[in-house]
Amino acid sequence: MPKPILVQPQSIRSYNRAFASHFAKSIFITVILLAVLVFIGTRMFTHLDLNLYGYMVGTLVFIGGFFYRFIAWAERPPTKNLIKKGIRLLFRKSTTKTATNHMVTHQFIWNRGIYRWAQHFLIGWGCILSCFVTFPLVFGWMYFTMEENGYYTVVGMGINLMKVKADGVLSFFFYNALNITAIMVIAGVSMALYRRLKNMQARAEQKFLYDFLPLYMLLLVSVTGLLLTVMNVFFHGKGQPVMSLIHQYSVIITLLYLPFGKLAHIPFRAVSVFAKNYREHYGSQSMKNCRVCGDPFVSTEQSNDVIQILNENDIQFKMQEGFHLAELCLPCRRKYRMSRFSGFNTHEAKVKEANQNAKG
Amino acid sequence: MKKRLYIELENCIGCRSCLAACTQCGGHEQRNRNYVYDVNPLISRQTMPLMCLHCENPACARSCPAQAIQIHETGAVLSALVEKCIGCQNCTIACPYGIPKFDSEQNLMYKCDLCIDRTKDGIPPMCASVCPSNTLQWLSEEEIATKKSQFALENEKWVSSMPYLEGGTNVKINLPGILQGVEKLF
Amino acid sequence: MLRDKFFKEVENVQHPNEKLVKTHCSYCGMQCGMNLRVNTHTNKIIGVEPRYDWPVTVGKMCPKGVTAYQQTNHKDRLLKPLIRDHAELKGTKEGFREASWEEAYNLIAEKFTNLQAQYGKDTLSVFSGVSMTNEKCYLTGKFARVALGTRYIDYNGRFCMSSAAGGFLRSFGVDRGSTLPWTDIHETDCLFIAGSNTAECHPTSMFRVWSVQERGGYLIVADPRETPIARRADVHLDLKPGTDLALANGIAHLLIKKGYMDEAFIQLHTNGFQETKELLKLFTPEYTSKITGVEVEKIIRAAEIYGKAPNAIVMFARGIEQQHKGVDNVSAYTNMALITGKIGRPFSGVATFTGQGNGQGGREHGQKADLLPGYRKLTNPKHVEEVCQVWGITPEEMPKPGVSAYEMFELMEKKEIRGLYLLCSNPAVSAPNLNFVRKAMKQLDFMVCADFYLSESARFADVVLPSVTWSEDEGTVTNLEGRIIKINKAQEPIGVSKPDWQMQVELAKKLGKGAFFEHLKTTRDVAEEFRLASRGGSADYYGATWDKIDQQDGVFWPCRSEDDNGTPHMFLDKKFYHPDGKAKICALPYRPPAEETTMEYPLSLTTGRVVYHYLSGNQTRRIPFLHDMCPDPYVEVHPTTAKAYDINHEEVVRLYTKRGEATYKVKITEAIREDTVFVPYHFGDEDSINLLTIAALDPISRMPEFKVCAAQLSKIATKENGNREEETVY
Repeated sequence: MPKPILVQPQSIRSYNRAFASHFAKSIFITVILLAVLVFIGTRMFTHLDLNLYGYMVGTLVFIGGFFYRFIAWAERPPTKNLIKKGIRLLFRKSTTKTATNHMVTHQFIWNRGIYRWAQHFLIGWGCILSCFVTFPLVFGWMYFTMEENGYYTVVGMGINLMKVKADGVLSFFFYNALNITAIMVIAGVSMALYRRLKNMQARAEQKFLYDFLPLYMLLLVSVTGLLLTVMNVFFHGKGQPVMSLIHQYSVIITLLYLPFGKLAHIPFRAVSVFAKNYREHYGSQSMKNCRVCGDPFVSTEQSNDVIQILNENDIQFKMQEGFHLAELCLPCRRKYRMSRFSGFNTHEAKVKEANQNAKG
Repeated sequence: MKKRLYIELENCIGCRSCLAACTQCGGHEQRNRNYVYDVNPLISRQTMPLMCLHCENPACARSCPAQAIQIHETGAVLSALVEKCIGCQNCTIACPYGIPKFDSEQNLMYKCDLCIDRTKDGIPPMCASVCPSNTLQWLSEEEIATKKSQFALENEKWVSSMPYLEGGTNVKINLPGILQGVEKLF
Repeated sequence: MLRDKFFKEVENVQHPNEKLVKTHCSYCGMQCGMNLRVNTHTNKIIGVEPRYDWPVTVGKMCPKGVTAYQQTNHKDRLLKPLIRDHAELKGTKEGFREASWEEAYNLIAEKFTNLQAQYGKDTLSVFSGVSMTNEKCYLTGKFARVALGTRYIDYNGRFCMSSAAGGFLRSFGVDRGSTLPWTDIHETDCLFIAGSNTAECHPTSMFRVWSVQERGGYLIVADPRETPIARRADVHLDLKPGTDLALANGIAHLLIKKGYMDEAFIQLHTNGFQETKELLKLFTPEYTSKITGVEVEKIIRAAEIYGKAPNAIVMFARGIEQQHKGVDNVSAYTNMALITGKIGRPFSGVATFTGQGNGQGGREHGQKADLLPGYRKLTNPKHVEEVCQVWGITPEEMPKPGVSAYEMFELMEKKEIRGLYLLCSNPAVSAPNLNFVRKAMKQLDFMVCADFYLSESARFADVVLPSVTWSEDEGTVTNLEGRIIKINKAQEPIGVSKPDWQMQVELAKKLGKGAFFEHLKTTRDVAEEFRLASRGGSADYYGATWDKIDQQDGVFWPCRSEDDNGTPHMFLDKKFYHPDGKAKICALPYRPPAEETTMEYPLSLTTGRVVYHYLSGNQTRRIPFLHDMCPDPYVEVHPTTAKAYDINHEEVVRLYTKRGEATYKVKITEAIREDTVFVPYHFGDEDSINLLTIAALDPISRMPEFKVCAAQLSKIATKENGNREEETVY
């Protein structure tokens, strides 16, 4: 009787073997992709702005750091599980709505407080818009050509997109996009710093490297960027080269820091959409009934996943009654602990639990 | 001097002052983070607090895909970092005691952080500060050792881990029944 | 001063832009120390921080204390005087309009003057309370007698502490709630606690109580319910409501029979022993057991423990005091200490758990119908003379003694009293037999109420004056130990609200009595006059200056001079306050409750408190945390009784007595006697259990019998079940 052969198809195996790790593979693919995009965008490297090469180097290093951090993170059992299932569920109907909610309007931060939302909105969108302007310029995906008639041509990915009047409203926004975003970031960072100085909880938990450094870095990038404009407009470009260097370096350092500090939540926020999809999808498939009271409290999938994840961490919450603690709804799990403490089976008494969530 | 939360379950009178005080801690945003249970409301007035025990190997943090639950150098298992929490609620399912609470509006888990703004400086947490019955106390290692020798019971009523808990915890617990070992004055 | 093993040096958390104001809680007699957090920009109270340096409570607070600060800037605060133009809306929240102080004062002065011109001086009355400072209590007495010139003044202590006062006066000749400081409690060997649900009503005493047991001492609790403190007691004497006198006599009987009495002490320092001994012969354990329903063995065991204990403290509270024999109960339990000589030394004594914040101080300084400042008597010409000198009136001008709180409502009903100035109290919830009391209030010709919220009683008023919370004024309070402490001001009064003393000074001027009040411009002015007025009385506060209070963490009265540091322990010299220096052991024949159970009304109804609410609930029902924890009243029923009535946990039932009825959700618990039901009394309108309670008054203290009457309950149609909110409390 022939043995079943459990091997992957030859082609995939050899492709994987070509790389020392996931890390190397991811970086290789990304860099190639980037090069191709630059090639197309700059009409075969003819419109590359070499003044901006520093940013390009910074971006490449950032890619390295990002993948290093992201892969280390994604290898953790709970993360791996969520990403795997999240990708599978990416094309749910509600994804667009959830993504807009979580990543564009930040409804959940609004619910945590309007001040926080405003501060986050200013910093977040200030940074994102800045990137949307800067990186296409750096990689030559977008540039402007000036013609005699007082019109600019906006070129995107090598294609002439539109003509705008040089002194028109639209071009005002094109010129000043980065100034506007810089002001947004400065305002947002100031709000954040003010909160960090006043709020006791923030004061208790904050660390310089984690909480303050990113704020100072963003502040530095925005202020030096604004100063560049100021020097151009009011001082005829005096001192502009030095400032330009400082600005570039500040951007590069921020990019280097990004994957490792607080700002890492920007790319990771996408996973909250996965989480929402995961809960909605599996919740509609099958709910886990509490092993004590019988009420559904979480999706069967998540209950099993958590048990599995805990197992991988060598944590077993299997009780002598035969259930795993993750199979008990929260009130029953708490009452079960009472029973372990007191010897009386509190979780079996048919009485609603007292109010546990009164606010102060 | 390192101090710990120490819980003497026998003492609880069910006043829920700990919960009220919890809402008053600097960063707790008026929401209480722990629990007090009636052991059997139909029979007696016995109650017990169920506080986060700040596990040495916290299941909540292990199950968090976003690494949003940090462990402070004092051993306190902190509430989810607001920027990292993705709202998956794995922690609530993983916690063996059912401690973490979830705010679906804010898409955010919140839990006891042992009043880190106080305890990082050695100031007792709000719950142990106000507890009128000394159920919750804030004690040094020596004081806990004294308690342990004072209430050394053969029936294992003094515990800090198995079999009554699911692993080592930073908070020390003393089960009901400790008075059994007390020698009467006369 | 007096720092013990619970005291720990802890630094407070100091937030930026905040200051901490050291003060005490607004609620019960424990007067727990607390720091109020005040924002230094807005100068508003924004939170609370434990006061670890207060020796009595070392930072501890109950949930009421933790949230007390939320009263001050609460949305329900009255910000302006209110005037009611349409008398027919009395009893409702409707019909008020905002007015200026000037208009309100003028209206009050006009109405009061007219009423007195038509019906005589005594047609006006003042009903006060003791949840306010000594200064305010003192001035209220002076306001009634000097500004209004009426004999009818009394206060809500008649529903609270007056039996303890009466009992102590009879036994010791002096009424200080505790003969020893609270810091002694955990050092004693036996606590005998009767009729006190300490864990819920005075929670911050509990760490000391538990400590006695931790040391190997004993805890004996007498209560019809297995309250949280009774649950852990070494002996729980689960007596029938209203039978305390028999129990106390039964224990005294055994103390004598088994030779635990201190004959030398009895001989030298007491009167009345022989007579009492004769009477006690009847109270054998079997006889006592028959009356009280407590097993014989338990009674014997309790007597043995108390008798053997080297040191012991007898403590009691409203459970024994709110009976029509409350004074006798107090004296009977005090007998235990006198017979065994366990008094007049550290770690031994007698104490009552004072209910209201200033229940002790407030009753000493002239708010009582028959008392003047310093515990002086209106019936004693010398005492009257002394006070008249301070007040600047002649003894002839001093009104005669009036009647007690409940009796004032009877006079209102008879139209002998037509005007009322109500402050610091909410009798529309807290008085017994409420159908009668509410009717009496409604038919008043003119009623003024000073409060900081629109209480149930304020709804009966024609003019409501906005007063301040405890945090917006300063002054002294005497806590349950007899320790005079200082309340500090944390923020300015909100709106145009004013402290009560200021209203009274201004109103006195409108009434043409300005000359007696104009010199009182600050709280300190009132405090100075008050110290002087108490000088030489048995409750002498003369030496208790504010500086001394700060320096030594409070001053125990009596404190007779600047050099006197106060008296933490009473009777250390074995001198009691009766003229012969001896205490009195009282012979007290047993009397059953005023209303005994019958076939028609077979259940004993008893009332009490829950940990989340304070008195009539006017303050605590508005605090979100406290409301959430206990939003509605309930009736506690034993499962056996529930089965007999075919009612279930959480079912709504009708509870009724001869006087009234109400509906409550059932809470089934084995922690109550089968023949007894319990309802907490903090709730207003149709939820008030006092619609059902009986106004049988103690002959001495005039205390109504809140703690026992005969009741019946009945199932109601199923469709009405579940009408109440879903939230419940267990």
